[in-house]
Amino acid sequence: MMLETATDTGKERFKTREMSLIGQAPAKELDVRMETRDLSVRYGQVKAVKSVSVPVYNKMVTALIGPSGCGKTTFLRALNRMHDLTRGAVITGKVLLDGNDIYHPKVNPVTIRRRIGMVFQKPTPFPTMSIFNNVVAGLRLVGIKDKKFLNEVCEKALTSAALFDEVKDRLSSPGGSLSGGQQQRLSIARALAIEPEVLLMDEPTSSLDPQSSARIEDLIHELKENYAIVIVTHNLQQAGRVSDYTGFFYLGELIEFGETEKIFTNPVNRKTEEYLTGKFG
Amino acid sequence: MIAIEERVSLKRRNLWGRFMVMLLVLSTLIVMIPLLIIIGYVIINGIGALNWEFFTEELGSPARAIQGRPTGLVHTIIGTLVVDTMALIIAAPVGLGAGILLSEYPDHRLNPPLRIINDTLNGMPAILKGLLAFSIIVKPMGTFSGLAGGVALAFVMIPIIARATESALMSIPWSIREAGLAIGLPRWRVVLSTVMPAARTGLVTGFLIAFARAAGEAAPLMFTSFGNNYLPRHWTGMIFGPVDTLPQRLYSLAISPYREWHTMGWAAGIVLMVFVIGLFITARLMTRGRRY
Ligand SMILES: Nc1ncnc2c1ncn2[C@@H]1O[C@H](COP(=O)(O)OP(=O)(O)O)[C@@H](O)[C@H]1O
Ligand SMILES: [Mg+2]
Repeated sequence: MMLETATDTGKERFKTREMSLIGQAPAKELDVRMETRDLSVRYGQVKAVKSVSVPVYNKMVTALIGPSGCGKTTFLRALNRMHDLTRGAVITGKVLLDGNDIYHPKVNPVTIRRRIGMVFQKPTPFPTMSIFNNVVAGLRLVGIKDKKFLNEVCEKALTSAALFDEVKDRLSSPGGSLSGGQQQRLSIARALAIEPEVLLMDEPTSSLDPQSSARIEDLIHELKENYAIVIVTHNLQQAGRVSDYTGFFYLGELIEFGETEKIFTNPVNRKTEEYLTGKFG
Repeated sequence: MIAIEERVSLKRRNLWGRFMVMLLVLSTLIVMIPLLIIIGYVIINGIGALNWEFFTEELGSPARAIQGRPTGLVHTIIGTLVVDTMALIIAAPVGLGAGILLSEYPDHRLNPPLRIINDTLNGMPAILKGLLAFSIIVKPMGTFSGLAGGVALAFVMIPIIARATESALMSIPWSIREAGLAIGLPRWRVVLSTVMPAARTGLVTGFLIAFARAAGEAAPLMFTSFGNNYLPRHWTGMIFGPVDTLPQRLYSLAISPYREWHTMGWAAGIVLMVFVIGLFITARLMTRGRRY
């Protein structure tokens, strides 16, 4: 399916479109947490994302796939205003969180980023901070001092990120002392500690060994009970394993979007099919 | 055929390469020789005056030196430390702030003018900075003072600290900042709590280099901290009264008509040199251990 330029509004649009796509009513009531409307991003004159309209459902994993350079990262970063500090990045269109435009001039980007967490492609622990301080950085550094509370949050976040048992005896050693896979789970724990509502992950396993990748995939499965998750991956198997919905990007456009199973078994667009069968990308 | 030609040209390139390396070694030596001559000359001429009293006695009148009574530069060494430290206390926050703005807020409206001002200040002759301190501190206070000297040297330190801070912060990967933003920290908090701690070695190195550069300046101190043959009676005299400092004392001793004082001037040169070289070496060693 080609998502034509959106003119209608609201959650209903996606629901009806979804139904027509699948050919039957969705099993679960779909709860749209976020959506983009005609979202475009350009760097100077280069258009990296072209008029993308897509929903992000609550308690679902949405995978974004597509060949490298097709604008997946650019799109993802637009969802929590990470482009605000990128020189030359210009964003048009709308990004709605629970129906409210996150780019509205009155909206504080800091608040948005606390509600929409992000995990980057490369693990990014704060090198000089201890593991504990890394995890609770988003709380401690905005003035939350209650040690007991921070301890609880730290343990909970590390447990959610499946890292607690490995580091519980050395919470005071620096974050940089962990292995790559552990550092990525630390980055996830740090994102979870501020209890966001949406979690964005940009190829979170691309720099990890298969074992660590598998752990993170398991983690995504557990996390989706409580979050809306968007994961960028160019590992198709991974997209198939972890996601409920999949969007296929090509040259900055969202070519096709729908239930993962549907997209993988019976894509509508020829480009999608070519990509999924390994003809390019 | 081609193979042989390649081999010949490879040989020629090897020779050429070796010749260039030799040129590099030679120019290194040419750079080092004046340094060694200065160090050697200062030590030979000054070592005679470097005794215990040099570090424990005040200078007093020329008669002391001429009559062989105990005399020294303890007040100069203390004065130097006090004035330079005051300068650093004034310059560190200002330079740090400027460096942060230069590195972290490239789109800030004040960024371009600040860069120009900082470069200009960096290139401005130190004696003019002394003149500035003279007119804003000495004139209103009606007296030469350590504080005025500190302000003059702060003007020397500020642009150096600002530049060092900027480059130390820029050496921290951008991803660290984004990680901070992504957990909902405001921009200033990201800089303060994630970027600056990661860059702390570079920041301290900048302070040391600025300190060492300012410690060698004589001109801006001549009409600010002025000089003093004695320790002030009360420690506040170090801030609000005229204070002796090594570079300025070195100059006064050197232009004095007394041979004994000339030797003491050389000895002051040794102390200043050890102090400054020590600071630079410390800065160097710290940079080597940097993680970023
Ligand atoms: N900061 C930037 N400045 C200019 N161009 C960029 C920047 N980041 C990405 N691009 C360009 O935008 C396009 C999309 O990049 P990206 O979103 O990283 O793709 P993907 O994540 O799918 O590999 C590419 O052509 C890339 O070169
Ligand atoms: Mg990418």
